[in-house]
Amino acid sequence: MNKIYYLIILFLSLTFISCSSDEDDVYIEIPIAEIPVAVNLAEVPYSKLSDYHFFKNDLKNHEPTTGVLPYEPASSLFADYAHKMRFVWLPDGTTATYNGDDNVFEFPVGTALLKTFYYDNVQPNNTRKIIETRLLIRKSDGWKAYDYIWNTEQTEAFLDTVEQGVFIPIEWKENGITKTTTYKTPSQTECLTCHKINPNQTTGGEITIPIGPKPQNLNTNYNYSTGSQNQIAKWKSVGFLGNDVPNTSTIYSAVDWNDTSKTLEQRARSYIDVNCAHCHRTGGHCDYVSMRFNFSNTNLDTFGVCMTPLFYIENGPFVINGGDANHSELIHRMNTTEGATMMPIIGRTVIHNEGIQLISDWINSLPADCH
Amino acid sequence: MKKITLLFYFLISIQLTFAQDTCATAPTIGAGIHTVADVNGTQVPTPDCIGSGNPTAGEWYKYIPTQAYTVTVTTDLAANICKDTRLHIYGGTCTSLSCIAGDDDSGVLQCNSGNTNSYLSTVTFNVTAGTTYYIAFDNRWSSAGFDFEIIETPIVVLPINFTQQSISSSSTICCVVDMNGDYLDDIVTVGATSMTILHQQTSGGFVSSTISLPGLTTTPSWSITAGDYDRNGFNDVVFGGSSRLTIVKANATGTNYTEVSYPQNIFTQRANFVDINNDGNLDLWACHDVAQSHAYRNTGSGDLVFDISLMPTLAVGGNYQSMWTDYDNDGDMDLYIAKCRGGAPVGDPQRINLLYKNNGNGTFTESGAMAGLNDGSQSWSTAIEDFDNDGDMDFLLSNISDTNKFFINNGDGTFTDIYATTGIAAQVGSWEVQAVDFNNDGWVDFFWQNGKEIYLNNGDLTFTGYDLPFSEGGIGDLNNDGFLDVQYGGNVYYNVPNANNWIKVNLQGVASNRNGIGARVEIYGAWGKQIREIRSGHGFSHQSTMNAHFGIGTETAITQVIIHWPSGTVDVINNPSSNQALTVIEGSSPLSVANSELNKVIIYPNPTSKTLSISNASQLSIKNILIYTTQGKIVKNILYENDTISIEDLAEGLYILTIQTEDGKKYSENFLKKN
Repeated sequence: MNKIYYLIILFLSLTFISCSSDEDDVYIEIPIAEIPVAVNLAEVPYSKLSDYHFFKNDLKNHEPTTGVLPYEPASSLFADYAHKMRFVWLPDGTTATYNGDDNVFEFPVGTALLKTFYYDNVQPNNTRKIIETRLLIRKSDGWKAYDYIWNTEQTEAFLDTVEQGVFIPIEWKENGITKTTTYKTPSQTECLTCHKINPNQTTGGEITIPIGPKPQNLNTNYNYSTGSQNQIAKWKSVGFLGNDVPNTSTIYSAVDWNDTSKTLEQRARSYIDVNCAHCHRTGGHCDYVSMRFNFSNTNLDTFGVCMTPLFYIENGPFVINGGDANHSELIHRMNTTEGATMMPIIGRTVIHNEGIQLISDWINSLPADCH
Repeated sequence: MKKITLLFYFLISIQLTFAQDTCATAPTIGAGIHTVADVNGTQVPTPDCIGSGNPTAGEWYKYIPTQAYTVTVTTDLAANICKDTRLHIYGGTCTSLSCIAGDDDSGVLQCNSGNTNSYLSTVTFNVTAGTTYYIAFDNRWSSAGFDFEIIETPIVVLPINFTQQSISSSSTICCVVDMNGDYLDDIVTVGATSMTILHQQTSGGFVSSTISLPGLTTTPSWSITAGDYDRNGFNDVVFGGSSRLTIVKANATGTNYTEVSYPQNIFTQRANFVDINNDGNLDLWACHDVAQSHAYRNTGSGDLVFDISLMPTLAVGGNYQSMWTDYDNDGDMDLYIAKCRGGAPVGDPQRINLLYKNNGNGTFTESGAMAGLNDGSQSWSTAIEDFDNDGDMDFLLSNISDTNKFFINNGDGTFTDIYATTGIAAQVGSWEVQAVDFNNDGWVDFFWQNGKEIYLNNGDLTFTGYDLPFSEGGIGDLNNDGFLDVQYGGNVYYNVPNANNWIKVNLQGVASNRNGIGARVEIYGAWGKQIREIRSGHGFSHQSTMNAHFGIGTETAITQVIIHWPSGTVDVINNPSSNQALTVIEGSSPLSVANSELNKVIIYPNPTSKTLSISNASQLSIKNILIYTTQGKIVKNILYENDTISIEDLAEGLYILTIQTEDGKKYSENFLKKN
């Protein structure tokens, strides 16, 4: 994008703002020419989130520009009860390819993945507070992680150039109960603790990857502005995916852990996959312990059932102690906020009681035959 | 087990009522083999002495020993092959049972039908004469009958025992160190916005004071480290958290503390105070789990500034634990980093342990491969002590893959792994390891989280493991009895003293840093030589005492204590009393006053310009001769060949000559060099 074009945009937007403020009483939204998404790999990361033009109109409303698709994995990582909005954008004419049900799609260079973290019912006025928008952008030499932190006016998010993460105290109501935490945006190294893998366990083989957009996680319906549709079908229809993606009926798919119409095992293993498997899979940050928590691992022995923990845990003789959640390492590590004990190791400061309930129910439903 | 069989047993059980069905009706039995027909008693053993499970039936026996024994109750018998038992041992009364021991599957007999252990039970415990013990089995896994045996053996007195006492605060990342300058170890625990110090009193016990730390950036969720970096006489504390490191700094009177926070992100693992550039002030070092480790430079005016250039190490993650030690006995502190990285293959630099040799001029050279310490077995912790009392530091590595390592120092800058011959079990997976002399026998022991929690040093580079009710914590002398205790969580585990003797050496640096961190303390006696180093940051996460503690076994005479300070100053104290703490202020007992009362050594001529001769050299088996300046700097290290040595190349001035004998004794004399 050249500078003259920028000037035009600036002019247009100034005009637009002045119009709207002058005509408060009879305000009618006047559609303006949509500005195409800009992801110039030589220039990114831009200093402001709005520079990418992923969204039109009021930035905080996250109305996607043409070519930007919202998406949502079947289950979400627990992040101190923060809500999330996710979007994907691929350069025109490019396509992601299939790399197995349990691996992220192989996205083309230029792809941008966005994830905005926010809270609703923030005290004292029960308002929405958007905290950060995390970007993964695929450059020619791999994925890059950037974090944009929202201003208090909620009009813009600015690139975290310091990359050390910031602490943001927050008080909100969750199901009517007031909760507080000090939300922490990730430092650059913290992004990579989860978003890295050494896929072939080779020296120097660590790469940065997305976590969510795997076939197993996207084989669910999403409520698009055009109606509800299977996400993989939608991605195909807009050209993000090609015909190499298998028929959705054959994809071994995770479920929404909240969806009580699904089996307890499906829900529990989906929850564990999205919260644990980015580290606890071969090549992950914690692959030196034996559990393989990826949803695609249907072998309960290697999933941790009746497995002796590598590290001694008082009253936790097994990672997953069939029939006995209270004496399972998994529950012990979920049910604490002590840094050196809790799991996941980063990304939360409070205990996810609903998650513990789910995993406990599942463990207690397993045969009590661990020795 | 088929349901029909179960039904069959059920039918039998309602027809017959056995005495052993309940605790109250349990038959009294003694040593020997006994048979349980089947597990069908109405009283389910509770409390569960093993952990968990929902058995529905039990079998009960009463055992009243006639004398004190070490008793083993076991189903691990050939008759029971492939069976599955679960065993509880109780004290108390049937209405108030308390667990003494319990076991599910410790049996070692192989099951015929598979290549795994069978699920048989065995426990060993000490009993007192005339006390009633209840032996109970449950049917969690099987209701089938089996045999069990009670074996009485002469009572085994454990060589080390601890008594547990609760304290008024709790912390699992532990800090046991003197905080107020009285050299009595205190306990520091940390809450979300406060810190509590339990001050050990000279009269015993603790007085608690809680310091408010509003807005505390991070708790010590991964490590805690102490040191007096502003040298005001009160230790400051470093909290290592998963995204920040923060310092809690004592005020001038040690009565209040304020936070000094740092904005840099760091997934803090082990941190240490150490004088990296040897300018007399403590710098701070911190391992970073996922990136290049951090260094913080002491400005000399009581502040630490973030400055990796002070100590730049390999710019990759995987830095779990750091230990500063003088591995090559050249008088300065080197750095060893235990490294671990998930997903990284064998040989990946992110998981190869690093050894930074101090060049003595503010620079360091990575020498891991040269020393043979470049282990790559996912190390979480290292204990570095002189395990064989030969005057140099050996390295015990706690790894989580492959094997642990026991690197013995060859004395020439290289190490050899002798783990296989040490008698230490092969299990890996402990994140902690710390080594001290727990039983004061003059040999350094260690404890960790693997199987046997404590291993006592047999004095011949073999170790014997014992079970402990704890496996990590802050180590210090928390009742000032000369035996090292451990704090973990809400408990202090007091080491029950034995008859062995000991000495503690407390340091106060003057030219060196206040704590004397980096000092080498040596003690000499009939045993030869023992060494310790004063360090900050112990094991993977804890802070233990910074008083040098030595056990000396049955010996009572300590001929000499020598302190080599980081500044180069050497203090020598002759014939200190044992069973006491010896407090040494840097420079208060300089080397020049050192003299041996026996075998008086005369060096001549004195003053001299060219040579020095030693009067009674033939009576001593001299190993080497060291010549120090009065500042403690070694200017000559001479392997002994004849009675006369050349000193022609020395500058004019006063020097100290120290003779080291083959049996570890030292003799020192002054001489004046004139041109």
